[in-house]
Amino acid sequence: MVNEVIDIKNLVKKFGSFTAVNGISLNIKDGEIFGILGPNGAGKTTTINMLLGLITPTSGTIKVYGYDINRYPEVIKEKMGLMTQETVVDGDLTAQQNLEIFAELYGMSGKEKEKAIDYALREAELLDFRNVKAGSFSGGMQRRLNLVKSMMHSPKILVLDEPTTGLDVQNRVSMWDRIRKLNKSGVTIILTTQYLEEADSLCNRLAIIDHGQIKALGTPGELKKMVSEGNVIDISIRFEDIEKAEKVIKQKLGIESKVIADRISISAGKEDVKTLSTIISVLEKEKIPIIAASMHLPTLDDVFIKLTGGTIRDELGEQQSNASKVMWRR
Amino acid sequence: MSNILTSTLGKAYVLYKRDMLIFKSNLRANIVRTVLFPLIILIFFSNIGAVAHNVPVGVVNNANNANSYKFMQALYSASSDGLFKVIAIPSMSQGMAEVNSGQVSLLLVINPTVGTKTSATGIIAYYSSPDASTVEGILPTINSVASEFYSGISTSNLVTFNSKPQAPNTEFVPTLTSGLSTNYEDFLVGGVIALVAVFGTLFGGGFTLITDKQLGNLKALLITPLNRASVMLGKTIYTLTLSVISTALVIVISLFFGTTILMGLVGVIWIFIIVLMLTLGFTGISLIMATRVKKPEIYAIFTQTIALPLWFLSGAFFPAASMPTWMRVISQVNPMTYAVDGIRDVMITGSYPLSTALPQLAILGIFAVIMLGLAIKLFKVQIA
Repeated sequence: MVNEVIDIKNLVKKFGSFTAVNGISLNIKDGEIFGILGPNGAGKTTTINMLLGLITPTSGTIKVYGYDINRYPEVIKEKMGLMTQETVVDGDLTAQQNLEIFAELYGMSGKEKEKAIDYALREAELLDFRNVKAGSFSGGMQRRLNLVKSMMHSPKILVLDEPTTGLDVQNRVSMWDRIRKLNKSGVTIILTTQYLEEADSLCNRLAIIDHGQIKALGTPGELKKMVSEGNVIDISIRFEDIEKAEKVIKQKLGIESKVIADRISISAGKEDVKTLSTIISVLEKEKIPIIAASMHLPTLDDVFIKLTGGTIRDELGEQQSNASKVMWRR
Repeated sequence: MSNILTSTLGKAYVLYKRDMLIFKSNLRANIVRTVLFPLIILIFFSNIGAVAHNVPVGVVNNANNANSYKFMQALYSASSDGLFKVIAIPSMSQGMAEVNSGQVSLLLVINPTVGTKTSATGIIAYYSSPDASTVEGILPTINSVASEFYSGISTSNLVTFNSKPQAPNTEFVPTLTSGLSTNYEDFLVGGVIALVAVFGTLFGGGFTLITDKQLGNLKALLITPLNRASVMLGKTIYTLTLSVISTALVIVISLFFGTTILMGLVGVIWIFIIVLMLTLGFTGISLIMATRVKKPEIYAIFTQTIALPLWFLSGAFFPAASMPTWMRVISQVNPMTYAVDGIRDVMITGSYPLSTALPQLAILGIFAVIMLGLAIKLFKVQIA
């Protein structure tokens, strides 16, 4: 019995001189929810496109259930499903027709097809809207239809590319429930997301990717421990004072701190509540006004910022989307 | 092997079905879009009936006297306006044959009684019924030449016109493929059929492919057990269906406008064959573009840049013979020219013998093979 359903080794993808994915290796275990996190342009979507056989890696291997997908691409088609980042339903077609097309593409016909469609419509709570054009559905309904559509062939592995982007809070929570339910029924789930709380609450394990490389891999708990065994102290200070504050903390207290935009982040010990008050009094003595101060257990935000830096990558994201002119050939 | 083939065909059919369902769901808009263009062209241009050009007028001089020579001289100089051209024909029987075959639109026979002050008819004009509207366009000019020259003789006696409502002989060799012998509306319809088919093609499979790509549908489809052959095949069949629908609509509209298809039902079948051959090649172009271009807007600009000049250079609006040399060269390598010529032969010359059809269809076939071949070779789908 193969415990690892996906085995990725030294995966590299170059678009011209731009390296989108730079030597990623990871395993995904049977039955887990695996998250891929990263800022825009980090290489998440490129990795997923390679995993689905939509683009060919420059080098490296991907094995699904032990089969090299370069040699046996049909394995992916049979075992894997994808829900894309964009909600992909044909608005001009009814819910029924949308599902029919996919059922037929997966080679279903007759009773088997009808059964699969009925099941999917029930799962998506769209039985009453069977013959309504999908274009008139709300965002949440379309997303549900999209999800069952990508499950028409009952894949063992489901890839969800930012499944909740653009959904309101209620629909997001309901989507999480659906994902958990699918997972419980035995489907291995791989999801990319920008929402850290989504990754935290859903994923058994996750990989944080930046600049095409894995920066960290582990359970959410393990990753949080990387930031601090204990608590994280955050002190917000006026921007012009921030360098001075950092110096003062280092000189007077010997504590290393990290500057993130307008705040100073310090890893503290487990029961080190005193540190916070000491820092506050030192800063007050130096007449550095404190805007806010807090002490909390590390969150994935802290992990994310520690690993990827706090800077916004919109520019790079743009560059990547230009570079990922994904080619599909077979 | 046969397994792959069955599966490819099956998947292609599913994709075709999907495109057709989407087409059907916007049926009204799609039909209006298809009909609008030919309607506008026909309404505006078919009423410009006077644009007859270089209409061939045969003259048989049975008189061979001074008056008849002067009359012919006057005809020659009147023809310098380009409205008609004068062709001297040695005998009456040959002249009639040329009228029947469509080589001349109007035959003037000068009798020995011409210019004499008798009541006998001096000049008799013959033309066949399909040419009636064209001939009517040039008659006033010819009449005025005649009346100027033979002043004193009543014009009603001078020229009488015998309509010959005789069905054209289907065995003649058509030399008037650029439509010199008919009215402008009939002339135009052939070109409009070709253009609507080509535009339908460019906004058919290729266009749906590019919107699928933009909306992310393509990625979702490619995850399923599809191969690229089924994508191409599905899109091609869809495109061919659209061109059949648009051609049928244009034919119905033009019949409503009074156009005739001289070859009748057989002619309609020929038109569909020609249109499908033309469409195949342009499907190749549209698929190549769709896989290379990212946005539908850019795609639309590119395709219009290709289609409109090809249309104008196909002799759709005006005979290729009247183009400057450099344009005529382009028009000769333009596949649309051959389609327009073929459709026109069927519709207005009333004859499309295999000796004409096969070379024309062969050219369209070569064009289709090259374009579809390139499309297969260059087919890459950008999923970005």
